[in-house]
Amino acid sequence: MPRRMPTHHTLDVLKGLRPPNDVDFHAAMDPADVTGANAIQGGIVFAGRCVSLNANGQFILGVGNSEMPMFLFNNSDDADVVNDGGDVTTEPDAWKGSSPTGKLKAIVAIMGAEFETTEFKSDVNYAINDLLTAAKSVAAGAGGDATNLALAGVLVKIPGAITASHVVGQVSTKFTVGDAANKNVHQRNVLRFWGLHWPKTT
Amino acid sequence: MPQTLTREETRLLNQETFEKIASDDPALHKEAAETLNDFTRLRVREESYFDQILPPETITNDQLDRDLTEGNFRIEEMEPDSPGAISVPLASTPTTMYIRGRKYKVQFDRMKTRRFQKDVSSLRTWRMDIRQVLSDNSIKDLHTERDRKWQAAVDAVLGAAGAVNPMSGTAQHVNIAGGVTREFIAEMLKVTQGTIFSIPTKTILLNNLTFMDYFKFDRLEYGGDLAERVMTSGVSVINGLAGMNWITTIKRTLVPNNAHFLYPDPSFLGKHYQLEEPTMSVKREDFMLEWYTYEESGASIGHLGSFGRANAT
Repeated sequence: MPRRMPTHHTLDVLKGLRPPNDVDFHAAMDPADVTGANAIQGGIVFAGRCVSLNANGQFILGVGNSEMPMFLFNNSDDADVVNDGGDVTTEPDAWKGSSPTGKLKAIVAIMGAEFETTEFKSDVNYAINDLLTAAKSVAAGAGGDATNLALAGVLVKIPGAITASHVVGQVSTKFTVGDAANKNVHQRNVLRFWGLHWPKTT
Repeated sequence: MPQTLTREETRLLNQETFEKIASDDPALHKEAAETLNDFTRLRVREESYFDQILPPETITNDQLDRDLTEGNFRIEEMEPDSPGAISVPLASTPTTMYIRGRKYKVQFDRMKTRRFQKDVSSLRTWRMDIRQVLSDNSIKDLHTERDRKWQAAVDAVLGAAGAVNPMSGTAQHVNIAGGVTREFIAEMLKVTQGTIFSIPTKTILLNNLTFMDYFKFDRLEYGGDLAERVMTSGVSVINGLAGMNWITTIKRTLVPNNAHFLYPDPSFLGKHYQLEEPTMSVKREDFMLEWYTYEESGASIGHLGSFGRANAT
């Protein structure tokens, strides 16, 4: 596993409510969305990705036609999310933590905020006011649009008419490939956008 | 034990607490919050059964370990096992064993209650202790969540009745037929002592209804006048039965009927740390008062083979 720093995958709220008054939601990831055929980056879901809730109240990557979009504040392997002591049913030297509980924090898209994320398709340009969507992982339901597992929950421009996509954000600052002005203080490409929730209607 | 106040003492305390909360001086709000903190912390400790099984130790920042992430955690070490000595003929060479110790991790997370609200004016005429009004819900929420998290970890390790524990190689969750009897107590205490680790049980956790079954023992089963004391004073007099510390709980959604959870001395079990004590945040804006409580703690079970569960079926 490559070395990863806390600055590699991030979500920031540039303008809007801050903790403890932000409109956040806490849930665990749907295990089916991060293991097996849907394995994302070795089973880890990164902060900054778009998620929504399944019928069991678990986070899944991306959005379908009309689920409330949210943006993850945690990585799924953060120390305040999971204490992986191994499988206590098979490994004799495993341990079991009673905390943390596996829940991640995500901020609701319609909180009324300008966000900044590292989790977007960064090899294309974005103009101000471009509309954004984020697809589910391929096998996560009939509404999944992603053809590439690595893009599940990643912000991309809507491909066609506004009514044919579930819009989750609108670009607030243009992004040009290779422009140093689009990097944050940790030299990571970031996309700045306002959160939205416009369900797909066609 | 919580203070027992007279009616007049409660009235004066309420008046003093109300004046601090209703004041425009932030320093007085802080004083009121500190009074509430003391009250809350004492009650949470007393009412969480997890805290009695594995008492928390206060941990400071300099005791935390570090890595490349920003989480708070501490690495604990387990005593290395050894394969034992053997008898050999003269001029034999001993087998080498490179000592390696197992470690486990305690990670921390924050618990917080709901944010409660009240119009300050509606507190003017409360007769019951205002500290109780403001903190009762917080206390209940915090100790319930502490116990819920602990129980989820314990249940994950023990599995279903009969499941073989990978560390001990035996089942540490067993059903014992025949209900609650002297024979049941003997068989129950063999659960953890019968493993390769032979760890004695020190504390037994059961719910209040299961505890009532010990009322049914007759004089012969109690072995003497304890039977009379139970009949006259109730089952609470049997704490210390079989040399154990008996903890009862009303949280029957966590500890089901007939279940007896068997815990060793805490040093065999794991670690429980308190990084930030339960702290009440009190804020007043104009006539609205709001408050919630938060804390940061962590616990891990390090020795999977040290505890067990026996169900009296």
